[in-house]
Amino acid sequence: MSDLATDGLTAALTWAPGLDPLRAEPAWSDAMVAAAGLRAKPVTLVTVGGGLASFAVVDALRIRGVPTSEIRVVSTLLRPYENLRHLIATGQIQDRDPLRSDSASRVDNIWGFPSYAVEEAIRRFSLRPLWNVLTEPVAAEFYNPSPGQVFRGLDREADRIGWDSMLIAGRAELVRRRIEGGYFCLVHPVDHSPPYLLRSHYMHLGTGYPALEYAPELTEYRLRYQEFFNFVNAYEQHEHVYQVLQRRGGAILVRGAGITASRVLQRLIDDRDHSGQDVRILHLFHDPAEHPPGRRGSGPPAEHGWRYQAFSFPKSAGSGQLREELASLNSPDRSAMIAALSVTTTAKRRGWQRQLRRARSEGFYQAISGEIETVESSRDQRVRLAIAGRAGDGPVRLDVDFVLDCTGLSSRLRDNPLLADLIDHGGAAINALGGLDVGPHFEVRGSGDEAGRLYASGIIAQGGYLAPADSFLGFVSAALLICDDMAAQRACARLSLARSVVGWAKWLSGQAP
Amino acid sequence: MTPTLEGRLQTRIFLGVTVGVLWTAVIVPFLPEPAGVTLGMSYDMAFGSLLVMTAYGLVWEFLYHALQQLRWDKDWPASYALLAVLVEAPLVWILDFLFPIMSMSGAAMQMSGPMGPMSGSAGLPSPYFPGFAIHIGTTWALIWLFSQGPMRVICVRWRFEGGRVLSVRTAGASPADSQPKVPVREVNGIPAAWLAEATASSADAEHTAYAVNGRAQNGRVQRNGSAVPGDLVQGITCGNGHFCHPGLRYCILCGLSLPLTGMLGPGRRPPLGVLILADGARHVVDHDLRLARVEGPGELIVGDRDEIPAAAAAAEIRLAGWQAVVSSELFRIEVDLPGGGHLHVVPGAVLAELRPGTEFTVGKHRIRYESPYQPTSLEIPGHGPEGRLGQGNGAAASGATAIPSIVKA
Repeated sequence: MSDLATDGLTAALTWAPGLDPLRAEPAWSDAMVAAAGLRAKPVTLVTVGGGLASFAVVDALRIRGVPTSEIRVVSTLLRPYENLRHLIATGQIQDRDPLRSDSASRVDNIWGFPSYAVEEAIRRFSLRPLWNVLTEPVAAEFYNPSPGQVFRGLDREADRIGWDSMLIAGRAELVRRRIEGGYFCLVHPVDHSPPYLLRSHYMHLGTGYPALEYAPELTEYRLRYQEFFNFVNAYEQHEHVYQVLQRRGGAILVRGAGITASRVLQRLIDDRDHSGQDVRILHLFHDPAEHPPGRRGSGPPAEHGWRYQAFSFPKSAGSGQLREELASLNSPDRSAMIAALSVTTTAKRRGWQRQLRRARSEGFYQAISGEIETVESSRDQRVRLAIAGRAGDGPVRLDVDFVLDCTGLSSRLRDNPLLADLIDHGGAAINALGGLDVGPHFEVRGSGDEAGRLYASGIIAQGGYLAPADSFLGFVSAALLICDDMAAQRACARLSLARSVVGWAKWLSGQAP
Repeated sequence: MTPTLEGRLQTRIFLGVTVGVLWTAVIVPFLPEPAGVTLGMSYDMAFGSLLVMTAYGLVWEFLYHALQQLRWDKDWPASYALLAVLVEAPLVWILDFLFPIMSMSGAAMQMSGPMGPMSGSAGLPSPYFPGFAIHIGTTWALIWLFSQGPMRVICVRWRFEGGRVLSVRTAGASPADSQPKVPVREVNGIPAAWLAEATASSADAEHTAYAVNGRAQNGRVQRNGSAVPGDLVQGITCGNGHFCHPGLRYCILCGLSLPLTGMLGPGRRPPLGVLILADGARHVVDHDLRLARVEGPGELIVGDRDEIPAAAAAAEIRLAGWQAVVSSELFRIEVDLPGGGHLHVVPGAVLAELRPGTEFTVGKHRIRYESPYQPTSLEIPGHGPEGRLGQGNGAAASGATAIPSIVKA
C-alpha cells in the first residue's frame, strides 16, 4: 500500500476476508459487517473518483471547517486533474492552449475571484488579460484559461487543503447503504492488497466519464483487422497520425463537430503549413448545421456544418435565466430541454475561422456529411470507408490514410461497475439523458435518505437541475449545493458571510482553511 | 455572472445601497462644487443623484433584460454593464438638474440659493457638472468593479443564482416520471457536387481486395494471410473482456474505463506501436523487427526478424513484454527522448528502450517510434526482458531501467 493511505487511516480500514456473502445484500448492517469480520471507523464524507468533481466537494467542505480526518477520497489518481490532463493532451490541447472555460470558473477557488484573468495579469504584469475579460465576448473572444494555469491553481489548492492526506489510492468496487444510516464503501487498493471497507455518513460520487466513446465500427474494425493505428479515437494516443502526415502527406478523415475536432483540425493544418506536405482533410459531419448564421433563433449560430457557442452550454445555463428555467421544469421536460441545448458545438475562435477559410479556398479541406457505413482495412495500410449520404444516393467509397474520430466521451453509467451496482442494488435511477437521477442538491434519488446521503456530481449527474454539470463552474456549483444540504443536516458549517470572507482571505494568503 | 431579471433588480439595489452609499459618503467632500455650495448641500445633491440612478436603474434593467433576450447565450457582457453608464448618467443629470422636482430629496428642494438658477442651465458648462460627473462616474465604476469580483466573496451564491442577493432554496424535488424521447438528429446526405468528386477519386479497382485479418505492410501479406498472434504478456481485461496494457486508462478496443487495480492476467499482446521512417513510411511494431539498408532509393527497409539476416541488419527492434527496445551491432544509435534528453548508444550489446515519441538515428536514418502505451510502473512478473534480451550478448539489460554504456549528453 502506498504511504498515502497508511497514516491515521489504519483504524478505518479492516482486512476483509468474509466479504463475498455481503456482496449479495443490497444494504448492510453493522452486525452483518461485524459477522463478516469487518469493522470500519466512520468518517463524515467519502468521495469516490478523486477528479475535479470530488475535489470541488472536498474543497468546499474544508472551507466550511470539516477537518481532513473526516474526509476520504477514494481514487486511482494522484492529482485531481490527472485524467483531465491525459484527455486534453490526447485531444491536442497543449499546456498553453485555451481551454473551453471562462475566467471565473475555477475549481480551485469557490469564489471565482480573483479570476484566472486577474491572476494572469498579475503574473505577467500585463493588462491584456484584463482588457480581454472587459471586452469579451463583444469585441474579443472569451478569455480562456490554459491547462497549465488550471493545473497550477489546483496543485496550490490541493496542497492548501491537505488533499494528499485524504487520498486513498484505490478503486471503489461497491457502495452500499448502511442500515443504521450512512454508507459503506468497499475499496480495492491499487497495490492489489486485500480490499477493505470505509464507512461514512455522506457519500459522494464523482467518477467521471465511464468510457471513451468508441464508435461501434471502431471496435469492430480493431477486433476484425487487429489494426490499431489507422482508425483512431481522438482521446487515445494518436501522435503517429500527425508524424506520418508531416513526413509524407496523405488523406485523413476527421469525424465530429465539437471542440476536439476543431483543435485536431488546427493541429493538422499547422503541421501541413509547417511541413509543406500535401495533407488533404475530409471532415465528416454527422448532422451538418445548416440554418443561416445569426445570434437569434432556435439554436446556436451555425455555419459550414459547425454550430458555434463559446462554451458547451449557453452561458446562462450555468447561472442565469436558462438555469432557472431548467430548475423550474419537471424531470422529463428538463431532460428534453437539456438535450436540445447540448447539441455539439465548438467555439468560434478567429484563428480557427481563418485557418478553415484558407483551407477551404485552397481546396485541401472538404466538409461532407453522412454516416460511416463500413470501415475496412485495405492492404496498402489505408482505410476504406463507405459513407452513406441522403436516402437514394448510394454510399460513397473513400480511401484515406487515417480516420480520426472526435465524437467524444461516453457517459453510459452502466459502463462503470460501481454505478451499475448502484443502479441494480442501491435503488438509484437513471434520468432520460442517462445520468443519475439527482435532486436539487445533487442527492441521488432512491438511494435512501434517512440519515446520511448519497450525492453525485460531474458528468454522471448530467440531465439534472444543472445543465453544465460537467464543467468547472458546474463542479463548484454542485459542490456548493451539496455542502448546503449537508450544512442543513449540521454535517458542516453554513457558509455565512463572515466565513466566506475569512475563507477567501485564507485562500488569498495561502493559509490552510 | 449571467443575470436574471430578478437578479438584476436585487443586485442594482444591493450595490446602490452598499457600495454606492459608502462611496458617496467618502467622495463628496472632495468633489469640485461651485462657490457657495455647502458640504450639506453637496451631500444632498450626491445622494439625490445616487437615489435617482438606482431607482431609474430598476427601469433600465427591464430594458437590458429585454435586450438580453436577443442574445443566444442569454448573457450580459461585462462591458455592456460598464458602458450602461453612458445612457444612464445623462438621464440622471437631466432629471437632477432640469426637472429637480422629479428627483431631488426634500432637503434639496428647499434649497433656494444655488438651486434656483441651476434649472435650465444644465448643459456641460454648468458649474455643477464636474462634481456630478466625477461622483457618478466613480460610483458607477466602483459598483461595476465590485460586481466583477468582491461581490462573489461576500455572497458566494450570487453568481450561480443569476445575481440574486437573497438566496433562494432550489425548488423541491419533482418526481422522476415517464422519460421523454430525446430528439433524434436527422441524418443529412452528402452534397451531390462532392459525391462525384469523391467517387472519381476513390473508385479504384486495385483496392477491392482487402487483407482481412492480414498484417499488411507495404503490400506484403504476412504468413498464410492470417494475423500472427502476439506474445503472451501480462495485462488487464476490460469489462467487455478485451485484453489491454496494464497502464492504459481506457480499453484500446472499446474505450471502457480500465481499473488500475484490475487483476493482471496473461493475454496476447496487441501491436505495440509504429515505427515512422523519415519519408513517412510506417511499420507496425508487433513482433521483433530488423532494419536493413538497401541500395538505391528507399534506403532503409524494415522487416521481420527472420526475414532479414542478422549480418544485413543495421538495427534491431525487439519486444520484451510491453516494451520495445532498439539495438545495433554496427551503428551508434542517437536517441532523442520525448520531452528532452539525449542518449548515445554505442554499438554492441546495449539496448535503448523506446518510449512513445522517441526518435532515434541509425546511421543517417532517423526513425520515430509512436505507441499508445506509456511505460508503466506496475511490475509485470515473469515477463521481464531478461529471458529474451539477455540471450547471446549477456547484457543484463532491463528494458525499463538498466541501459549500460549510455552516456547522457
